[in-house]
Amino acid sequence: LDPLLQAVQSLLSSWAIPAAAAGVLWGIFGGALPGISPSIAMALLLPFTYALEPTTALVLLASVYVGAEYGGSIPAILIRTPGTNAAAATVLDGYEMARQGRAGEALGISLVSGLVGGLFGLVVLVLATEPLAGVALAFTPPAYFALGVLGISIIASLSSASLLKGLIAALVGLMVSMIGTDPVSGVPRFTFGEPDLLAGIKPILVMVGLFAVSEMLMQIGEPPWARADGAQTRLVLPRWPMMKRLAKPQAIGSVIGTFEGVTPGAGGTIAAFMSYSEARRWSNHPEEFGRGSVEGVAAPETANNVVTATALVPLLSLGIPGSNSAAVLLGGFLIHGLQPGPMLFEKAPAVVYGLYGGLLVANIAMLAIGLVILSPCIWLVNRPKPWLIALILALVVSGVYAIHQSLFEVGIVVAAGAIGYGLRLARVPMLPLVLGVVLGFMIESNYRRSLLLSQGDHGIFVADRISLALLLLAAALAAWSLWREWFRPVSTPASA
Amino acid sequence: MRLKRADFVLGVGAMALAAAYLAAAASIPESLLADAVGAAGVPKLVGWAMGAAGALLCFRSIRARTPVPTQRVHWRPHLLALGLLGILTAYVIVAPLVGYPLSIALLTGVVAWYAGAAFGWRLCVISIAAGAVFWVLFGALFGVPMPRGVLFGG
Repeated sequence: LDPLLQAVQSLLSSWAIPAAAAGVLWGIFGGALPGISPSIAMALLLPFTYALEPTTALVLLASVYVGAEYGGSIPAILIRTPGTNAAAATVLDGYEMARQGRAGEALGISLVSGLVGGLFGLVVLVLATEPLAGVALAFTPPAYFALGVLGISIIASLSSASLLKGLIAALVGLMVSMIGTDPVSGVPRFTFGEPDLLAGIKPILVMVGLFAVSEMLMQIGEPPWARADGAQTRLVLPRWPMMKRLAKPQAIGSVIGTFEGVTPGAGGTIAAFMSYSEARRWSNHPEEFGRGSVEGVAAPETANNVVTATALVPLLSLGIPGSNSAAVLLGGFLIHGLQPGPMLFEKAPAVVYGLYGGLLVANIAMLAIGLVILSPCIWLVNRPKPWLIALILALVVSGVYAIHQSLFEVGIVVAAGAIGYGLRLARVPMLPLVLGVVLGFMIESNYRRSLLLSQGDHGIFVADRISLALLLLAAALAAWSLWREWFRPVSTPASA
Repeated sequence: MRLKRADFVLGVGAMALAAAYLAAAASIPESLLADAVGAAGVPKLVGWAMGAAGALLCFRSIRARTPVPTQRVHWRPHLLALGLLGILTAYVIVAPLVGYPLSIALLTGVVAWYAGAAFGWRLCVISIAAGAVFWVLFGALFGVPMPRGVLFGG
């Protein structure tokens, strides 16, 4: 009962409960705007979390993730434009339902399925994270180095169709992480005489630039979004007979969402499409899929909300963010001097349990807010896109300046946005780059610490069993990805 | 039959970046406090890895030689993005001179106009209102000392 009490205490002794509601609200609005992914909605808030107490800040960010996954289904259903990548599968039957005059029913199914998925994912998160972190407590410096290498190789392999592109992104991230004063000898590296670079480049600046600014650079060249004609739409919650019918696709979405969530690099989009496909396969009415099937809405919406919680398992237990949104949440931890991973449960249990409690509140808040938020969302989606771009950029530059009152940092965010735009054009995934930035210090410091312990003998990485196992796994994964890439010359678009 | 040009360009870019990074790493000073690896050790490893990845990508793109349909490149979105980057850069330069309230109002108005909003009194009014709201939010509510502007005695 101790963790439960800690969660309650942590929630009640902070502003976490209002933060959960505010985060869900912001997330639904962000998710409802096509082009604003959950990670962007989170990144926009990241600068504002500096002033908040850690539990409140992390609950706020995690709640945005929860809300955004539901918000993404609103334009998917109403205007056939998914608000988030993970809502793309919802378009298939959600929009068909809307065309048949059943938009309110589709939105209700999306909301309830999101709640079911979010709560299921939370249970998995609570049950799986601490045991996994317990195993990681046995890690030595060589093992931590190997874990960092494995994390990057997993993300580089799975977040893109091309290992080489993922690897290049990760190496750019490592390069960025090495800017600043060398932590061992104190000499400046890659600062080019610029004093503002001596403290290094903060991951938050890279994340805001890569996710938010680069998306605005993309949006400005794209046509306006379609208008949502949903003024008469009223959300309709499913009744009991419908809930019984939805139980099977929701179960399918829960299982697939769990598996894809805990797998770094997979994410909600793959989970949603796999769940849709499996729900059709196991359905008693497969002929309805693509023609307005309620199961075709329930399965992907359950899956992408399961992922909002299960994607945090590798982050909290091992310190490896498995998705863009988890990477932004990692940024939130780092802002408050907290390093996710096995020691987090020792050093800041109240924050972890508070985050669990906050996620529970966020899922309940999503149901309550979701019932009343539809009209404001439709109003927001119908705002002129030029103003949304302008206001989002004004928010970005103001928020980033507010962190350290530095226009130099605003300039770094703009530069990171330009790099992100280039990466998107070249179909290079951005997550490995972010991972390189956030894991760079861990990888380098543990590499050098290991060699200090072994007096320069690289055999320490083989002698340590955990390190050896992780490095072999990383090598096997890289070899498999290279083999796959080498014998499949045509690449597919990278997942953002 | 053409090589995958985008991948080839990316590979060449990665090799160029690796060369520049290695050159910069070579100029990192040695310290008496340095360990066996040294401050430049890991950056050099990363630089060589980047060079190798870039070379492999180039090689793969040449080897692939998949048929690529001739597509007309649409430059307009990229030029628009470049222009937006210019506006953001101008904001960074202008903000310390004219101060936060005016610069954020200008940024909002210019970006909205650039993105397609019609120029007129409405654009001006909304931009000024946005500047005022942002200034109140950050300056007054959050207590952040936003730039007052050299031109206004800041």
